[in-house]
Amino acid sequence: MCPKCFKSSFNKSTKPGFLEKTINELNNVMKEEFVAGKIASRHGLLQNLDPRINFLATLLLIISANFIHQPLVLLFFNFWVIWLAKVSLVPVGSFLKKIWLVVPLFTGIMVIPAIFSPFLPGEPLLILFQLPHPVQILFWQIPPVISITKQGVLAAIVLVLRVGICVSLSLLLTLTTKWSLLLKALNKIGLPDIFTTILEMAHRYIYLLLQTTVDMFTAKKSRSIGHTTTGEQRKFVSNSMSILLGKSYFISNEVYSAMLSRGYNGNTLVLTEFKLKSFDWLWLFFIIIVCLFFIGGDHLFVWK
Amino acid sequence: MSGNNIFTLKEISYRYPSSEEALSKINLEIKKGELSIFLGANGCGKSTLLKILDALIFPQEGEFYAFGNLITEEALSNEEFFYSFRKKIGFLFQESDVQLFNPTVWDEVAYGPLQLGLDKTSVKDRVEKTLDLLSLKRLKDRPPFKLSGGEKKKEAIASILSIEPEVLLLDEPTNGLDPRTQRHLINLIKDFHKQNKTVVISTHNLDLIYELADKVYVFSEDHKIIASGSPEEILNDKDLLIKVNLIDEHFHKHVHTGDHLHFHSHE
Repeated sequence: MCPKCFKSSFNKSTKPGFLEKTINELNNVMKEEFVAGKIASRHGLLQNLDPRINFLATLLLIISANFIHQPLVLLFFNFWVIWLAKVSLVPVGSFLKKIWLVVPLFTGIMVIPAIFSPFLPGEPLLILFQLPHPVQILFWQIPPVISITKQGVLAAIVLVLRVGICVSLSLLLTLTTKWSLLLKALNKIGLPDIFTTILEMAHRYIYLLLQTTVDMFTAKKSRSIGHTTTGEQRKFVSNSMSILLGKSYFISNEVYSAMLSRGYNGNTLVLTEFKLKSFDWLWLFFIIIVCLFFIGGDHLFVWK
Repeated sequence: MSGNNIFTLKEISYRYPSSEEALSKINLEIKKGELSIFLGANGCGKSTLLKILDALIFPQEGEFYAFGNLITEEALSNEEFFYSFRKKIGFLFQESDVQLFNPTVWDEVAYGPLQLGLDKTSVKDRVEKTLDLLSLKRLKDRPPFKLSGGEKKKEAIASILSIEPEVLLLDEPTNGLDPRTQRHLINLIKDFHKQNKTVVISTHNLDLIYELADKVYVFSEDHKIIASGSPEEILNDKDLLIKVNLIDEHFHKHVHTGDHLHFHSHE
């Protein structure tokens, strides 16, 4: 490479390329896990609960949220979950960002068709255009007036708010309960040992393979001078994938040997000891009251 | 076969499915309370032999006896024999990460005793005792990926010491450890050995041999044991060590105050 080309390609490489971006994203995943561990160790409201009660309470709240139809009640429910996050010492800003950047994006895309009259007929809020006559496509009749309907918008809002509550509660549960304790709680509630063991090991080795990937990408970056073409990048990524696959196969064999060496004979035994405190029972009782309050409120409140 | 032997290997050969030979015609006897070291260059078959000693793989040729019993896949399929065998041997893997498959340090240390059928109270006692011994109590709730290399090695050792085995098989135990952790580990091995327990180590660390070994087995690069003897006999045979590709012609030893020896090469 001539000095001029070298210089120009070097300048190009100072911009964050796919390597840097991938490394940063992988590091972010590990940082997230680290932050989650720190939150779960805090002495907030939900962290002080027995993980089984925390799980059951979350389940009850999610089920209740799905019985509610009034947007205002759902909105109030969402605020109540934010309060729950606050008293559990979860940073509310990043908590809200995680929920409300993702939920509208994924659920919103799914519910967009529902707001239009051909999919959910109803009272028009905004007329978009008019067809000269109704159009029949197989069994589906498109009305002559294409509009955004009040019923459609309400259904979309209800769905987005409901999903928001469910995702918030699930995230809150995983943030305030250590993964290992959560799985043990699920095991105590009745999830078979084999599932909890597989989930625990998957969680454990995902981070090992993530670290290996970060190392591979960093090593590649340290040896890369100048600009790499898209083709080269694709080749590197596919090579990395095959190396990771080989490594995970090697690790799985070695892990099995290590388990065998310490007495694994097809059954995994788990030692878990949870003690229910009076506060746990009190919390469960409180959650039942909260669920009844929101469901009752939903019946009393009439959306106009 | 002597009644004092923990392991007896007769004409053992092992070949991986990819057909490369890993061990060829191995004969050896390891006595109770002996600290043996397998010495050889990378890829000579030391780790494979340790896996055979722990009955994790089985040789295609030859006979392997442990505690006076012929060890075969069939013998290990007997549940009672399986548990009695596993209770006696602790295996430290070269890569700590493969050995640490539990979510927290506490769970890792409890895994062996639980699997081997101890009651809950005994498991808890053993875990607490082992965590104390290795000063791991402050890390007991940590997941493995939040530990340093030295801490992972300590956790891996704790996970096998909690079984209270009669035999320790250690695969490259000092690899990648800082000097302080290495010293801690060496002292731990010495303490274990003092209790008349058997230790087998695979390594290419010559300092370790001089400090720990009762007997050294030297592996050639064609996967055979080509010499055995006391640490002095082996370490003074420079031609042998050059032949097995462990040292170069600049290799020499230093004697420091207190008769401490160390071995290295420089021009």
